[in-house]
Amino acid sequence: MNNLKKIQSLISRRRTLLGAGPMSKFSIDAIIELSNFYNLPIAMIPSRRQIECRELGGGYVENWSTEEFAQYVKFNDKGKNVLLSRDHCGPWQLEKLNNDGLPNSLEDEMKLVKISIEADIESGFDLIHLDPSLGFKFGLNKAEVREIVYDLIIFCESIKSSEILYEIGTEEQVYSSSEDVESELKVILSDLERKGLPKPIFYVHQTGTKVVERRNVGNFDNPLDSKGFLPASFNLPRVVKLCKLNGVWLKEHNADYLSNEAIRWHPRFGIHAANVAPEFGYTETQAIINLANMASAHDLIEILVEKVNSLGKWRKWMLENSDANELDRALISGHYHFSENWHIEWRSELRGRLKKINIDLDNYIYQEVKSSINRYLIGFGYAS
Amino acid sequence: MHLKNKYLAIILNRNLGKECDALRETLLSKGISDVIIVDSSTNPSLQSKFVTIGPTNDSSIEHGYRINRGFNLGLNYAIDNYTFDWIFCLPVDTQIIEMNLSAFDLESKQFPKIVAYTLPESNNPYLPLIKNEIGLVWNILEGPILLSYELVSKYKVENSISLFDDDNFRGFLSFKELAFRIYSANLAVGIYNKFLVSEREELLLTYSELMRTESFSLNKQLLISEGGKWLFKKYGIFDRWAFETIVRLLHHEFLLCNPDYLEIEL
Repeated sequence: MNNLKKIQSLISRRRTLLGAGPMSKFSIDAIIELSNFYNLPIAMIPSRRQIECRELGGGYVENWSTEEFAQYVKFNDKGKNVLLSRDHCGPWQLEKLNNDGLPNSLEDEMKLVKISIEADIESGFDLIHLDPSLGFKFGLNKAEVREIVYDLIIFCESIKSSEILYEIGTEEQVYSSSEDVESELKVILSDLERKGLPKPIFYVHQTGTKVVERRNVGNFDNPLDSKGFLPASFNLPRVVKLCKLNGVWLKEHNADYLSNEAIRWHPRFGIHAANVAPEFGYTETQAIINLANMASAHDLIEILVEKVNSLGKWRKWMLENSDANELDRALISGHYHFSENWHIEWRSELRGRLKKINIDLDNYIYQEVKSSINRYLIGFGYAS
Repeated sequence: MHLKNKYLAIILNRNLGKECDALRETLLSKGISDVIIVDSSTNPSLQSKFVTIGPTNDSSIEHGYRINRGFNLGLNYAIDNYTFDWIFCLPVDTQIIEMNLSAFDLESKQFPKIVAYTLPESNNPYLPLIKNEIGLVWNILEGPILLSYELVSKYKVENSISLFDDDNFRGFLSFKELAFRIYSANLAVGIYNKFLVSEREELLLTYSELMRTESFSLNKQLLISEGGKWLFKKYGIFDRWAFETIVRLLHHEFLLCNPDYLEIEL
């Protein structure tokens, strides 16, 4: 069965496809194990910061390049259930500056994006989320942003050797109204058809999810509807209908930290696919802290918290008037550093201390991460 | 004696007599024939000068009437003492921004099956979805609402009105339940963009002690916990989305049975 049919088969049975972030090697292994256990597809969704091609310096997960990452997954995924799915591929997504300390020009960014895509396709990626929405921040208009999508699809089609599936759209509020989103989708689909280009299978649309700190603060999972926001039970069937009318599937982003109830309602509301990433990184960091507490390794906790706080990766996740303490910040952003030498040594020290009290660090963490991913799979209908 | 009035209003007051009477004046100036004031003030000096129904017992003084109980009392009075076409039900912290009754007279006639109109604030997310002036809604928040005589009179059972559930004290899903009842009867709930209100949040902030409400966070917590119990006890339903889905499907069925209303579906 090809990838499209696998997804189709899952969705037609009213299940929600999980897009899971490969936050660490443990997450990657758990995603592979679970997709093979259920014998159902899971999309593994690395961002370019997590996994990037060798030529562009690799990513922070295991310091792997795209090539190494894909090779590892394909080797271990015996049932061929994992879909390698690039998340947020587009200009300026790496947030890197040029030698003058400025963001790259569009032309330079597009060269880098194409290098990245080429490595993805050569490494056997199945799906690419084309997301040029950051172009709006750099002064591009809607037509120019659309042109990037077309340009990238033309590029992918010109170099592919097997089927590539596409996802478009963004969860960010870049359009002024829901009508604007609808008309934008229609324009893109009609342009693609006119140009003889393939239709994307997924469309990312805001569903009322938003992750800050370690909470989902969007309206979707609010136990009471909020003034000024469309209620989830009204909005979601409407968005799903919009997607169906246009022949695409709805992909939700930022589904992290949702309640079990909200997760369970994904298939019932008809959400076709949903991405979860930082929660699995948070789970792993929390597991490490738990283990350190079990070993009474308070000195190690102090070192970890101080180091992660000093490295500042937590900043992008914070609420404006955050009351998060240093431990919270470490939990939120610890996963960015799992592959750094200091963390590997730190973990090795903890592993040694736990061994003395007969606790297997690696097994404990793995089970915690697996259970965190499985919470979504159960809610999304994989077990039924 | 039954007086024929096209538009009536109910105001629920609690210790904000001055504000209540100012709102009453505004309503009368907009063409409302009479205003029924349901008052649960704890002190007579804080009551409206025009109280129709005062606190009936110690509990109403201690806890207030809240929306469900208060609106039912006002509607009961209205049915017993007036005939009317429409009645506005308003909490005391409502501010009228726009109320064009003559336009509503004309436009509402096109959709006689709409028997309740939620009164939106300017940031109401349904407003941008309305194609003309009127749209159909089913998932609405508790607050100001306009009800037809046709609807209210159906709920007079054994001499009292039971349109809202008195036992649902804090009003969990209360207006979804109203929509559930309305769509079940093959009738509909609307939203009209020439009626605009705003909630005077400054009153709650400044006079929360006088209004004697719990803190916002405690009220929210109790609303969810007590509301969940109410939902299960009454319907055997575990979560609000299940209930809301039932209302959505009833709304969908209404559109199947009344295709003329498809043009105002949101």
